[in-house]
Amino acid sequence: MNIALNELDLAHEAVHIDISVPRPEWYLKLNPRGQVPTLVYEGSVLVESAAVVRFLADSHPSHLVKTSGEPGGALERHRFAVFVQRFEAGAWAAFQRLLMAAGTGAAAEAQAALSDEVLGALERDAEPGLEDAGPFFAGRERVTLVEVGIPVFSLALTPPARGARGVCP
Amino acid sequence: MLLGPSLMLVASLPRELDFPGSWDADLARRAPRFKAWLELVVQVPNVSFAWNDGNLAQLKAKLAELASAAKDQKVDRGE
Repeated sequence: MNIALNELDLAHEAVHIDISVPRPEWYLKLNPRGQVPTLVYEGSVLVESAAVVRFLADSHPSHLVKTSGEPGGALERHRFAVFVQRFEAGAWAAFQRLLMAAGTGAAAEAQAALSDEVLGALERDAEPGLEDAGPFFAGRERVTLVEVGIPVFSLALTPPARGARGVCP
Repeated sequence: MLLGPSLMLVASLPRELDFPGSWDADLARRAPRFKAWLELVVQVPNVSFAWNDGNLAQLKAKLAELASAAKDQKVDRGE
């Protein structure tokens, strides 16, 4: 969501909370489920980052994705949504399980199986969808709704983001 | 459309990650397009912001500040 806000050049105030401790009361009033992030947009509380990113793209036509009314816009939106949806349901979901397994000290064999599951999902879902990337999704020269729509933690799947720090935002 | 001060984002602070030793090599072998694409994406200025050392240091300082404030609140309440 933060990437989308910046890519759309939308002024905003970022408020950080520590997610390693129980959510503060003021936050639970905004988002009773305690999920992060939350966006307050002109008085409306918006939750679920993927849905918020789509909302921002809809509200602020840009290079991220064609509007539904533009020629080919609806089809492009469908293609973008399918890629993100499959990525989240496959590789991303398996990656989360891998992180949980690593965090709870699961056996090496179990972690290896989950790692294989992540890679298998990437082979099956992501590789074909990126066939015409050039350099960004669907041959675009600038980032699209796909690049800003994938879960930000998934960027840590590759070394430049992970770096030597092993930390992700 | 201009957005005013009513727009507020609440985001999470960093957490540690751990990867299997062969991860990077396996990724390059089995999902080369994805790896190349993702490596490009993380270099986009609005994306790389999250990985910038200076920003990371700021986030860590903010985390320490939040932890300290939470500790002070407990002391104030006599916990």
